[in-house]
Amino acid sequence: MAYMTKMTRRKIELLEQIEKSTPMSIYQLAQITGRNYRRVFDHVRDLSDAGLVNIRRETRNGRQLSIVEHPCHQRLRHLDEMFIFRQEINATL
Amino acid sequence: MLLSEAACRLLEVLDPEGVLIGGLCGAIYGVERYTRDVDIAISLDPKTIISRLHDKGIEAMVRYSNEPDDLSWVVHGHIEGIEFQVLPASETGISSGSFQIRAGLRVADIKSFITSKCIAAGQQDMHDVAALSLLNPDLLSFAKEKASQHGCLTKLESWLDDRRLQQRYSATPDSL
Repeated sequence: MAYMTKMTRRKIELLEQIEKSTPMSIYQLAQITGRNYRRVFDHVRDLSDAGLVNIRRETRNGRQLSIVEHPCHQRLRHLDEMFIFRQEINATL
Repeated sequence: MLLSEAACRLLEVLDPEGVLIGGLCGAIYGVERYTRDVDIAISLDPKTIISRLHDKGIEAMVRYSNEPDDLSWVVHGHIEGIEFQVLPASETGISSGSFQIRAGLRVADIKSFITSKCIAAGQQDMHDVAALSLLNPDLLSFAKEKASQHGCLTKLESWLDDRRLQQRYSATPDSL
């Protein structure tokens, strides 16, 4: 784990919220937690620097979004990708 | 449809009694291995489950068994080509009240999940229990106790000794 300035109670709460929810944008995360967007953005960046979450760029309805993922979201996505890959292989046989 | 989407849809239909177990639940807790289906444990009778699934247009049928080592019933089905099973919670070591919300899904809590894997006791199940024990060393004694209760401790210890598994899941492979 990389160095993180300070693991505050607010960051822990944010991390728990990210883990519980489906992957969402920083804007949605700020809305769901009822917190200031800029503060949530800074905390997410700190959590990402510490390797506790991943920020993935995604385009939705032509807009670039920063989607926040917990490692459990990444593992589920990996499983879905393996499943699709296996289906594609089966389809060619 | 993706596996995770199928799990989400099924948990919606079987809310609030259904709890995710199996490979997807393992993935949420950190075990990375391929799975091709969705497993759900539930404390409802099979007729109610079938009725709820059919109401939502999901194909499913129940298979009963009287064999001593089998589950008394299992609901099998397909949702947009993805296979799923719904299993009796009480017989799989899962309590509907012991769950966590992770990634938007209602998943069995980690101790219930380990118990269910020890009851199933197949090689893949023991692989998952060993991986979870390496990822969470505080659960090792619990996992060994459950494996011993269900007669699969030797299988578990064999997986715990597996060098590749240690390298993949444990930060300190020599600490065991």
